Amino acid sequence: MFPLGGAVLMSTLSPLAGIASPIALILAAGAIGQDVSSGTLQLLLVRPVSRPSVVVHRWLAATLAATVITTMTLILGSVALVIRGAHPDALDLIRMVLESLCSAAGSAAVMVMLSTLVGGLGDVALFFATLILSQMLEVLGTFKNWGWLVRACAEIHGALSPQLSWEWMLHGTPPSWFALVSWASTVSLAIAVGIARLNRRELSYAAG
Amino acid sequence: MPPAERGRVSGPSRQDPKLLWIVAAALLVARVATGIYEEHHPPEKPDLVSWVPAAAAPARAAAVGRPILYDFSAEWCGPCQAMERDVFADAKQAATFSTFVVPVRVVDRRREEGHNSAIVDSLQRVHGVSAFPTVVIVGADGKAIDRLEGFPGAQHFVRWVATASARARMAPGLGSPIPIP
Repeated sequence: MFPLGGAVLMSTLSPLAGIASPIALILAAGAIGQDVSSGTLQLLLVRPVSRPSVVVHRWLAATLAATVITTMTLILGSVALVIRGAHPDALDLIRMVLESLCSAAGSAAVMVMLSTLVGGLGDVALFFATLILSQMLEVLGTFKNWGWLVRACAEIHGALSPQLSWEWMLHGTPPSWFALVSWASTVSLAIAVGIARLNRRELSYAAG
Repeated sequence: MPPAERGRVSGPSRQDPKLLWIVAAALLVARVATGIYEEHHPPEKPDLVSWVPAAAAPARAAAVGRPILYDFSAEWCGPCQAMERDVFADAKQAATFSTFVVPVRVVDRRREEGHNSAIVDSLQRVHGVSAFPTVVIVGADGKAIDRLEGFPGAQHFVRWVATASARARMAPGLGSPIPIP
């Protein structure tokens, strides 16, 4: 709601650009871990459902829900801007929807992967612990002029919330293949690790 | 024989995603390869700053109440390209930068064409430009408020622009006071 208010006040959709990632994080938090802790997953897996499909469907559900919420907010923001006399660019709106989809898919994949590693909402703690630790190390790296550490921390940030810019679409320039491949690599690795971890996990009602 | 249950999974329920691992490994290799390639051949990034023509800048500055920023650069200048990539092509930095000043780009073409246009020559002479990049912030009366030679990094640069433009707004003796936007 705050970003929407900001967008209306500033007469631009920019404040809504980054909301997909936190929404996906919230929706995917505990996606697997909470079901393991509560025993729901053990019950679900007595049905003919494979473990990889549980991981993939949880990821898809969180991605889809976060994208729909973000798109609705963007549409609402655009309507509010039109009412106030500003005219948001349609191509820019499409770019923001595509970026939201990529951010949501990336963040949801990472959160679902973390969720297969720990029970309950431990994935949220793991996410923020990694984020804070990497930020502290980045400050240390900047202070000590250790470029390799700063670069490593930037890569960790990128891996925690993978994003993909579609700005090139508006300007007719070629996309950055590194950015595209980095995003796809992080998402596929997160899903693969999540499936591998859940496949090897011993599930019982005492687990969690 | 009982009818097959709808949605029944054939094969092991813990099937290892071999294809996904192959795709992930291939993407990881491609990530390293494209990273190395783009380190040496940075992709063309769009300039996100709405540059104002030099002739139109004073009127525009007076209209929006911001000082003029002259960016003296050249195509062959390495630090100018770094500034282009890290500030003018970066959505966040370019947006912040554009809120403080009316930006004017003054590109030196002597090396490519043998001479500059009259307005480029005149601006370079007036502001004593001897190196690239040189950035000069000018108040509404045309007097230079501050100047920066070289590119000190995106964050430092944008901070300098913010500070210098604030000084330009508060500077006494300007022809007409510049209101805070």
